[in-house]
Amino acid sequence: MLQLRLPKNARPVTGKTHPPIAGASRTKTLKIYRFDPDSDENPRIDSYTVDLDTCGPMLLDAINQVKNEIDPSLTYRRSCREGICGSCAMNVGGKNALACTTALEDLDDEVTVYPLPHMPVVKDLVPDLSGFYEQYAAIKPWLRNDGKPVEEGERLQSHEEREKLDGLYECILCACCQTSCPSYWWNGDRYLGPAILLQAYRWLADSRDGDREARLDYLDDAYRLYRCHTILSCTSACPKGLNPGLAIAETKKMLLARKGK
Amino acid sequence: MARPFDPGMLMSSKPKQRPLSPYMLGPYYRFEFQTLMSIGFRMSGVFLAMILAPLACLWMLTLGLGPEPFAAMQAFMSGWIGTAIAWLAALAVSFHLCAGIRHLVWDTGRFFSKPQIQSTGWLAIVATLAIWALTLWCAS
Repeated sequence: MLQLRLPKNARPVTGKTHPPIAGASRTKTLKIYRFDPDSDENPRIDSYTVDLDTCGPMLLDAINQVKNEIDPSLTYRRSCREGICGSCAMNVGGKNALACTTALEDLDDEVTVYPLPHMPVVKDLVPDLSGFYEQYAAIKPWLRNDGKPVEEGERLQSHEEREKLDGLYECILCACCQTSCPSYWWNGDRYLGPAILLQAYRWLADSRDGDREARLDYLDDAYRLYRCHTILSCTSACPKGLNPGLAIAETKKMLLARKGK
Repeated sequence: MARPFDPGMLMSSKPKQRPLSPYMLGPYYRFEFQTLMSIGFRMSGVFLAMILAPLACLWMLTLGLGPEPFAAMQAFMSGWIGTAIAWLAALAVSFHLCAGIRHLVWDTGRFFSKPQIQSTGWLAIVATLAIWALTLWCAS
């Protein structure tokens, strides 16, 4: 449903301003969203000043510095620190990104760091992604066949068939595109969203998959697929340079071609 | 049999309402070119359907009601409010047409790269202004 304002319990208030690290000369200020599930207070925006001379080059390094040296209570997800796990997806300066692939030098001197938009917040920068994962499971993201082995050897794929998966298999399910999509904000309970639809197309495009008709049947729905209005915030947001908007358009084309038969 | 994992078990006695993370309005999500184009496309459509279409129907209706209601409608439409609506309508029609064509082209799976999203957007805006100017020039 179209809802423009945050609910009362979700409106952030101004929080603490932590003093900069002693002796820091080159600094940047992070305005970080904090929510403590153990208190009854609203979320707040705390301000931290990091020392660029003792900190690595990426935003994740700065957030680690905040946690290690200023405020150990700060909570966030991170793992690989090289843009392949998708854990540290967050909203940076009003745009979704992976903290570990966002260079500090590309950011303003004062930058906001919020959790991914329009998601229930578990704590600080950690959103509840269980609905997102359920939607991923709903498309049955694996090769589906009749269970019988092929005559000889493996299910082979030509170079051309394999190339069709380029730009799809690289998706790391970080949810940057998913949570940048206004359609997903208003209809996230029924609309699958750009990340899941790109994944759905990844299996539609795979020559080794044998269940294309059932996959298309599942997607042929006013909400699941057709809530995409080609706004293309997804394509703009993807930190891996993939194109969910195009994958969705190709899916719609497949459905149209099937109807024409 | 093991009990299925329930995240609620990890929480203290009363599970709290989780706040919704900020989005859109306020400083939370930066408006980008493609978002504004999409909103403009919607707004122009709403304007045409909710204001221009009923107004056009009303105009036709006064035509059937006789010369006096029609003259009153004519007077209203040539006044400054009517003129403003006509100018805006010309803009809305032009923009909705150009942005609509852009969407039709996208439905064929073309022009989806990030630079093309930008360039086709600007092309739609330039074409909108050109059609609008042409309409106003023809009307004056």
